[in-house]
Amino acid sequence: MTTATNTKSAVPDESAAPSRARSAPFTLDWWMPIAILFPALLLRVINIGSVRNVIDDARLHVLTSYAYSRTGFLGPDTWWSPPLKHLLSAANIAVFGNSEITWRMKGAFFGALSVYLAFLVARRAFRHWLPAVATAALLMLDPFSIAMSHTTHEDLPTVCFILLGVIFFLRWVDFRSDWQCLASGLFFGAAIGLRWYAIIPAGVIALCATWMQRKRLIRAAETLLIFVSAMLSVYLAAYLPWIARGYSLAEWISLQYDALRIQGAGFELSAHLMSLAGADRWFVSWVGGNETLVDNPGRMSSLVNDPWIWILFVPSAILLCYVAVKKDRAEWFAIGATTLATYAFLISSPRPIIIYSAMAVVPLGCVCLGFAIAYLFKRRGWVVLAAAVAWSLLLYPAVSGVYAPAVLLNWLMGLVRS
Amino acid sequence: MLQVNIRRIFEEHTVALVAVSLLILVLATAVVLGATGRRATSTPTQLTVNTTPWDQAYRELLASGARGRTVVLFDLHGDISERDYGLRSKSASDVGLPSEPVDATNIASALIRAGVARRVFVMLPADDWRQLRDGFGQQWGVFPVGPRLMRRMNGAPVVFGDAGAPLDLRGEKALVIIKNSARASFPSDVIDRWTNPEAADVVVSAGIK
Repeated sequence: MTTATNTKSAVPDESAAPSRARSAPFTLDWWMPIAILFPALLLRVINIGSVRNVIDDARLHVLTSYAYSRTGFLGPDTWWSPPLKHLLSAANIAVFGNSEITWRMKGAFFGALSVYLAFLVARRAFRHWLPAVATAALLMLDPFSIAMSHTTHEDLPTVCFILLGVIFFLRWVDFRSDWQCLASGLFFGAAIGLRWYAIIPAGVIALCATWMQRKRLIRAAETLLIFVSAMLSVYLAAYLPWIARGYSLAEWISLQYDALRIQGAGFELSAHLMSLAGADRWFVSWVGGNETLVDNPGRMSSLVNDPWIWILFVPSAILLCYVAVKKDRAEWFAIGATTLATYAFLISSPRPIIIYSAMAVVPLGCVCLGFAIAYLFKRRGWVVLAAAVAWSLLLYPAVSGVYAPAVLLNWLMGLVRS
Repeated sequence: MLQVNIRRIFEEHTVALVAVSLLILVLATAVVLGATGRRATSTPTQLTVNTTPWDQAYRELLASGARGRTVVLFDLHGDISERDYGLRSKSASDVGLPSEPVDATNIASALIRAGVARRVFVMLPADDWRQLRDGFGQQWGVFPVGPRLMRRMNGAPVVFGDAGAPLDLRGEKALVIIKNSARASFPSDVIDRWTNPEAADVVVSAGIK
């Protein structure tokens, strides 16, 4: 049952043998988590208490977390969103206290964690330092990831659970242990319990796992059973406080159906939120980021994407899928396809999707881009990476509200407005 | 022989059995929690509360010990739009309770919030129902349920319909609230059907006398 097939070829580097022989991922030294988590957290904690002009539903989330964790009442937040976020917020408050800073610290913590988890995904998938380091650097400095880390939205925890699900899927590919599959299912269940869109990556991963066992269908069915049972267990468990209000399982299914109908019906949003909607343009043009604080013109704080980097995510994911097919690497294909499928879902969703859902694509997009940098530029990839890092550092003042030369901010503003 | 096979199944499919057991455990917990979440009134016989103002009727229902129940409201459709008490709460400690006096326009949401009602049926006189139906049915988040219309209030279904149309609660007794001033709008047999002890264990007559 736990046959180790721990041999993987190392690369994105084309010079490596294209055989099925696989090497172990490079060693994870003790200092690596610190070297990644510490700067990632620092970048997200700076100015955490004074960020303006972000979509911040903290008050709504905190009140609902109290109501839901104590009485199972699904309000005042929307009832059609999965409720695990309320339990997560309640746990965060119970552990770290009840203040605006601790509400936001949850986002900063999960934002930093997502950087390290994306690094682990790239490390285990590509077994080479360059794509792993590139992934971590790109995501660590991504302005949107930093801006989102300053708020209490559920997207960053969702992303962390998706990345954990992918890591355990990759471990399952290496070791073919059902326990890895169970863990992957549990994490994807938690992700779906926070955001429904996580069902897209979960579905792609399940399809790839089935494909990899296509010659042993009964085994494939068992793997699928483990994965789905684990997912469903966590998802249903998140609703137990609501069910404890006297609802039957039939009424719970009815709630899911109504939530699906209402999500599919679309709804009107405020003009400010609508300006941040439209997934088709997030990756090709600036969104938001055009507000300068009136009370302190030297400071600017905004919700901002980074189209100059983001525009490369989709081509990188396509490249990864192409190389995966060429080299018969289903696990690489899973990463590329997950990125593409999630983005396609956001574009095609009938309800308006606000830019914070882009967080579902960005970490795996960074993994794909890290692969592309290493694959296309090989050992000179670090030069490209350095340029990308320098550009991202320029944007940092724009999303964190730190003091920066007015010349720089004015230039950025002009760029965004153009 | 059988023993050997069972052991083999356990050895070869341990994780699958763990995963399915986990799911069964969560399902069983859900069934038990759902069943225990419905509590009857502390007074098992029919309780009629003739009261005004509304706030008092609400408190009588809270005190009755009923939880997770079906509430049938006669002609109380003032709060067909969703209301968020939580946003008006002054502190986290009063999130579970309404922060404004309960009246005819908000008693449904107050009962849902307090956990007394898990679903609500709003019974309307036939003429009122016909007037309401078309416009209300076009609203976002309102769905048809048989001959009635339903919208969810913080996740709890609130169903609107003609009081004369048959409604089967599958043996479950209801908490019935009747606005006194509206009694005359309904056929007496409808009121009688819903206020007899077979159908309801708490009947509250409230409002303007």
